[in-house]
Amino acid sequence: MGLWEAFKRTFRLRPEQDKLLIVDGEKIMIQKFTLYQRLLHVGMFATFIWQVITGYPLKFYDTAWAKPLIGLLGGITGEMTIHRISGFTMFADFLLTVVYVLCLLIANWDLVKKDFFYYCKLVPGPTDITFIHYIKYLLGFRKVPPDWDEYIWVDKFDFWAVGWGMFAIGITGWILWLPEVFTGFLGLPPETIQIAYLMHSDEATLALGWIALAHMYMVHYGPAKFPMDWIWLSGTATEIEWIEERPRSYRRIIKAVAENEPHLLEKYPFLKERYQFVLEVEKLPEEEMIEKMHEYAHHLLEKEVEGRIA
Amino acid sequence: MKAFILGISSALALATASWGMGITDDGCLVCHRLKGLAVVKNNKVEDCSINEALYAHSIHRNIACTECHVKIQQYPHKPGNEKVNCATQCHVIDPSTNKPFSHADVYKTWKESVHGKNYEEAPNVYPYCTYCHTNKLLVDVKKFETLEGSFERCAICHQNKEWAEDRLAHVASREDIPLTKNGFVHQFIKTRRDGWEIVELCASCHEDEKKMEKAIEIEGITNKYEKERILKAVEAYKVTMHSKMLYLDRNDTRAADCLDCHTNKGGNFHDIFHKNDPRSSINAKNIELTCGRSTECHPLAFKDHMKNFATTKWVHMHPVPDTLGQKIVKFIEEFMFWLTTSVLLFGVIIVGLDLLKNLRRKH
Repeated sequence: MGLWEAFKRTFRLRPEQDKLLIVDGEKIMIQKFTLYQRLLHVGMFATFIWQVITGYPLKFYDTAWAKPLIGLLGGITGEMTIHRISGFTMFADFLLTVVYVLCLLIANWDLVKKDFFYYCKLVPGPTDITFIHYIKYLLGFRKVPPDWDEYIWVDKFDFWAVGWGMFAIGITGWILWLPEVFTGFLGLPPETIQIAYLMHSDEATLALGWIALAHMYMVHYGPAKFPMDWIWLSGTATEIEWIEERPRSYRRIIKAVAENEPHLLEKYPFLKERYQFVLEVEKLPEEEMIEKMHEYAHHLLEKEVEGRIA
Repeated sequence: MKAFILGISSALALATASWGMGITDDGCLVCHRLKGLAVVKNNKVEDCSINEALYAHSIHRNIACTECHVKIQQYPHKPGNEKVNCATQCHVIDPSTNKPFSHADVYKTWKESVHGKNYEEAPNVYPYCTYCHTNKLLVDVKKFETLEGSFERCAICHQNKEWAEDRLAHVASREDIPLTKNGFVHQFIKTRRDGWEIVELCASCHEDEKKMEKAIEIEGITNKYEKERILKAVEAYKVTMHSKMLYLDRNDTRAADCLDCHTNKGGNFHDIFHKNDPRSSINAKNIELTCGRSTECHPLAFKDHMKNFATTKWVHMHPVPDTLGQKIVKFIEEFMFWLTTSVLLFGVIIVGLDLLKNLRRKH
């Protein structure tokens, strides 16, 4: 096997049917994140926590807790050392993500050329009309939640916001760390450091504000996820969650299994039942379809509870 | 005759008291040692008493009162002439030059500096020597083991132990309690105030908007950007990394305080001039050398190609939009503010609505 084939095999996008896992021959799970993707996320949030602990006493230097916290971190020297090591690791994590995305693009270029938005699911695209539906739903102009795809608006927002954040906070962090290098040897204008400082500080507020408010609500303390969505660790979601939260993706996965691996439908009758259900609901108008899917999810949940009681 | 005897007795008593204390006080302490001695000045009671024990341990303990309070020549002295003249020569002989000691050189620098040049015109606005230089008690060198070691070594050459002790105490007074690191006395700091105390001292005037507006008026500054820069100088410094380092970790003296940038390398710490004055440490031709003073933090700053680094405005962060560069910085500052505010507001609305929807669904 040549290098190109090995590379292509490593970074080739998984076919939709490969996202479906059958556990113990009776349970469906959906795998959303691969191990590498989960590790990138762990690297990002672990360093983010350290950056907040070591960065915020500087931002809010005149508060009562800033001085004791700096003392606990080993004074300014300790604080700066941790902040820089952690920042370096975070930036390395970001670079690994960029390299990973580039590898995915190269290895799947033939597919990407065919249907860009289908294969680049994290790029904002036509399916994001669901965001308008979501707002309508929140404001009471729609009865059911949108027909969400695999990655919804908040996933995309979080992903691209980290990209922007790495520019606004990562590169500016480097500039603040090595001001003589950027303005001296690289000859950037004097305003560079001032801009870097302002952006680094404001982006820190933006990042922590968004993560603590929206991201943590969506995956931790929101009523639907409390105490947390374990997908960050396991990479997988239950079938019921996927039907309710990603109905469009669920239908696509079930159809892909039926079309590409029909023998599985023969082996597992419950898969055949799911496929028939999907074909039926797809004939309905969009809102009615979502309603039926939610009902189906509740029906599966009831069955699961009954099974547990039995 | 009685008056003559009383006069002689008083003079003897004064002389004895002064000799006993080791203070050549010109008899001033006869009255000023009284606790509660006060005058009413501008409707405020001003304490005029002097604690002779404290004075006897101060840096100026060997100087007679009238050597500095030069206008006082009679008893009772006239109100308003109690001011000290720090440029005067006193009777102390500087051992390094064998000449009478004087602060005249430093005084001359101050007189030409931004602080001194208009002092006569507005003594309530500009700081005189005593505004910053409050009298300081000497360190008793014998109380510090680490200094005692040094003291023993001094005595090898300087056989007059009292003289050596006096000089060492004088030097040691630059810091309150000498720091000991790895068994050695930490190097004497450049001033007896630490970096943050210097910032607080400078801020005590520069943060006073009324005082600064008066100074702006006296200096004849009309440019609105220049005014903004002066009025926001402290606020703009306090948000910088330099300030935060000094404030958050008082043991770490690496970061630049006001004096580090506004005085010249090798100068006498009083040479604070307007940035357009070629003698100023922040003048375009000196700025790189000034930033390069810190060999620990910015050792490359004095290199030729570091002009961009040295002329950055990050030592006073807030952009004052008088140049294109600063206008861009101001725009980015506004952009980041509105970006942060709008994104977080959006987050609050979405989370709030989603929470309401979820709660309604549950019930």
